[in-house]
Amino acid sequence: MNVLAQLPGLLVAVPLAGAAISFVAGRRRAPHVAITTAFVVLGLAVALAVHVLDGGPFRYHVGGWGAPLGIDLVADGAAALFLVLTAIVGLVVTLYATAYFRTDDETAYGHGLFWTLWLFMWTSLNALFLTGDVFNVYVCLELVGISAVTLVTIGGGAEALRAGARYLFASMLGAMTYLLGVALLYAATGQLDMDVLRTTLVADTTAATGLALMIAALVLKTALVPAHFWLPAAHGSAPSPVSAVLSSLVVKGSYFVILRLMLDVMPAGYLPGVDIFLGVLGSAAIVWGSVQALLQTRIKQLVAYSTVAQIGYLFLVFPLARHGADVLTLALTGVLVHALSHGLAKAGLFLGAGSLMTRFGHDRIADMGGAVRSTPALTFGVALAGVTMMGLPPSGGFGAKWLLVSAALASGEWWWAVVLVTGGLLAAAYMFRLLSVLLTDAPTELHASKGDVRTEWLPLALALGAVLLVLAIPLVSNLAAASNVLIHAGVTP
Amino acid sequence: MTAWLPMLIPAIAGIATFALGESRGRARNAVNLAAAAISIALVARLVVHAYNGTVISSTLPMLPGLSLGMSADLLGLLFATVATVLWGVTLVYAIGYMDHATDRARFFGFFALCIAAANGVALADDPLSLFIFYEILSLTTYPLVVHNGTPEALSAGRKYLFYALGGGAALLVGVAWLAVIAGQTPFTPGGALAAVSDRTAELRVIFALMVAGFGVKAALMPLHGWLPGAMVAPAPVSSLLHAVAVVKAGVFGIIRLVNELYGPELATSLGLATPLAIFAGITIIVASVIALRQDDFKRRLAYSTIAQLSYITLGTALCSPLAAAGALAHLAHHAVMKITMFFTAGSVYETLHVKKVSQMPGLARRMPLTMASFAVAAFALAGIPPLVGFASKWMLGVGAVEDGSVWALLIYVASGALAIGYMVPVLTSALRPGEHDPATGAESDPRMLWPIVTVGVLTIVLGLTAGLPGSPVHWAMTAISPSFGGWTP
Repeated sequence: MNVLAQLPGLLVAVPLAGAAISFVAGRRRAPHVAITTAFVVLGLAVALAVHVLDGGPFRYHVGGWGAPLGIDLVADGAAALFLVLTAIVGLVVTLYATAYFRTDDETAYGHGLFWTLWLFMWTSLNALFLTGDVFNVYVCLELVGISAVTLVTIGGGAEALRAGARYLFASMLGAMTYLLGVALLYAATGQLDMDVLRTTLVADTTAATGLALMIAALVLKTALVPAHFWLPAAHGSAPSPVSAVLSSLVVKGSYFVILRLMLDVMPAGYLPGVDIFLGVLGSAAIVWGSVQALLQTRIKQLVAYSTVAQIGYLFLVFPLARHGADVLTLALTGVLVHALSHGLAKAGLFLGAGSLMTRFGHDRIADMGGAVRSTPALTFGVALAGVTMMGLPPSGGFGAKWLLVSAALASGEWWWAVVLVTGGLLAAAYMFRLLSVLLTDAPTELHASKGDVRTEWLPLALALGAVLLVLAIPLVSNLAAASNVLIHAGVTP
Repeated sequence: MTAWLPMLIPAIAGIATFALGESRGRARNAVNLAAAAISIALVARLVVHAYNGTVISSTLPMLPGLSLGMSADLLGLLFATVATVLWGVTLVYAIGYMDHATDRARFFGFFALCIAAANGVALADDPLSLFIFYEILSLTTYPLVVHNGTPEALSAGRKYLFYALGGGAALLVGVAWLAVIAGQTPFTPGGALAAVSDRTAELRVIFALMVAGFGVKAALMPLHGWLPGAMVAPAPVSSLLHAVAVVKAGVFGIIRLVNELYGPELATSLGLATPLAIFAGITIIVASVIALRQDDFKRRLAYSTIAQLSYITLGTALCSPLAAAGALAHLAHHAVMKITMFFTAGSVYETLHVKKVSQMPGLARRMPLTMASFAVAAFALAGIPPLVGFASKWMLGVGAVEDGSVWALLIYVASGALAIGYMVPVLTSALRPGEHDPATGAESDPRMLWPIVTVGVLTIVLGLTAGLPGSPVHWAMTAISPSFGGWTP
């Protein structure tokens, strides 16, 4: 049996096994289990990406049963990118968490469960990126949602519990709506496998209603404006490693399903106007999220609203996809690069914010003056992550902006380019509002006089990754070309 | 690979400076000075190659269908040489100036990164590569502008970013749009857009977007607002970045845009050159008049810079070969003159805390060598022969007449008179007897004094040798000639 063909299964099985082992290993050994698991999963994800680059997308029948009876996993270029992103961010967050949770009170409620929950969420996310049928998407969304809500509340505290309750509500509402959509779709077509649906879907009100409900539910889970109401509180009040994972990875999970439903499963124009509508909401998210970020006085709230804004860019691909294969290729590569660079930079920013809060003992931006002198590596990391947020060269964010602006100009719909450029300037405004405080020459009173090498340098490592991503764009565009979206659109690399 | 090195060596020096940290000052100085020396030698080698007709270039795939490219042609090398040589001089000055300052690792690190970016702008082979280094230059300058961390510095920094990033956004759209309609367009003397020259409406908008982008750093009015405030930075920053690297990156972008992207012919036939020339002409006069009224020494120099930068823009926009060559030569000449003046401003502030022209009486007796160097540079700036400013101004003026643009000649003559008007009061004030007594101390720290004398002497030497091969004048004419179909004077 070909080992490489087993990679999709292993990418789910290994973190699941890690979660189980970390649970029985006890709180002292659990971090070691998590670190080992993270390295193995990273290796598996990279191997999968290489395999897809070599041989194109492939399917994996769980337990040897094929569709429609069994569960199918689908590995294509886009899924491989998200899996690698998850593995890189996952590894860094795991390493960071070993320092972060150690400095907290040893007896704090729930901290021992962090490792198990986090590996379990990683498992569910990997499954979500790989799953080939719309019902399993529901299962994965539920698993991700439940572990995410629990992780938000793991630190305890009234604010986190309130945010967790709101997050739970949004998550449940989304999942139920999604399930209703799947039921309608199944009633109309009798199919759940995405690939089968793609070839058999015909105009039908029930099926269309089902798909529309599914997309609405996923939009809520992705926190696209105006369905973002739950995100800033949840991402802002969770422990920092959790915030990093939620902002950088979890929202991309539901987004990836939207991407496949909109551009791969449904024929063009199946839900008329929805593509433009999503683009308009995305533009609104960029502006609204950025303006809100500009108004925040607490560091993690600023970073969380920045996520609301950055999610918006991902939705600009849908209106641009209507303009032929060339524009679609540019736009899809653009959003994939954006998902990667935002994933790395935002994780770095949340981890950096967490370290700053530990060092200063509070989260008020206005009182973080002089950070550049006391924590230069950390400040530099936050600044570099900011460069990617603004989409300035040389960074992955710039690559994404360039591709999307080119797609917009090539499509003739130049107004999307205006949105993109405005978004970059607004990001500069909110990032420099933070940076100008960190760079002031103020005497600093530090709560914790010395940072751990992990909490000081890991945010910088992620930010550097986001910057260096610009050199990997040829690789990303090869993987994009090996995605089912582009292959089914008839794009030949 | 060699074409990348003028950019890479300062970049590596910058990163090494950060890695060395604050405490290892000796190692830091050694690394930076060594990097400057190596870069100068390297650029000199590339110049020899380019003069012999071999242009060394190299590309690297980056975005789909587009690559990042560096090409060591004569035009780019002129700017790279100015930036690299003056980096070396400024390093010595800055080591003296920053002797007692804090955060020197950050300062010298970003300083080297700025030079890396400027050399990237100089040697970039196509609009995308140029844009990338142009934006890196904006970002790496910001920490230097706000270096002091004072509220005033932060507010100047905010303003700088607002202009720089706004301009960068316009430039991004312009460059991306061009790539969409024309694909990869490496800079070509005489123009690279022949294949798409029928798309006139789009080309006009793209030109305007790019000028808006370059115009910010070139301080083309009304995009100049950031420059006077940014003078709050430490004097070596003002000297190198706001007289040499940053502002020259803007005018250099305009030179590439007009001569080697659109080409003088297309820029004229699309009706783009004349509006640009008018903006530049207005900037020259208005900025010179404002300079007359500044008592703050550095602000006076800042407005003079704004005016002189538009000399270059105007000369380029006239699209006549002699004026274009004069503009390119003036890029080098102005750098030497203006760096002398900013060094002076820094020295008198650091030594005697003199910030204003009205505080200067006695200065000429207290710091004779410094003020003598300043005087030479000031007369050169006013265009008095045989100093360095004269040659390029002569070319600009004659070029304007050859082109039939007598109004441009009048602007050059008028602004020469205005330059005397804003420079002479500095000298008369310094010559007046006053509080600064030579008995109370010597000139400034020798590490600051000798760089000033060096660049001061350079303004004389370059003026006297302007007619020789290898001088900026000759170099500029050789570099500009292919853009005008092999023109020779």
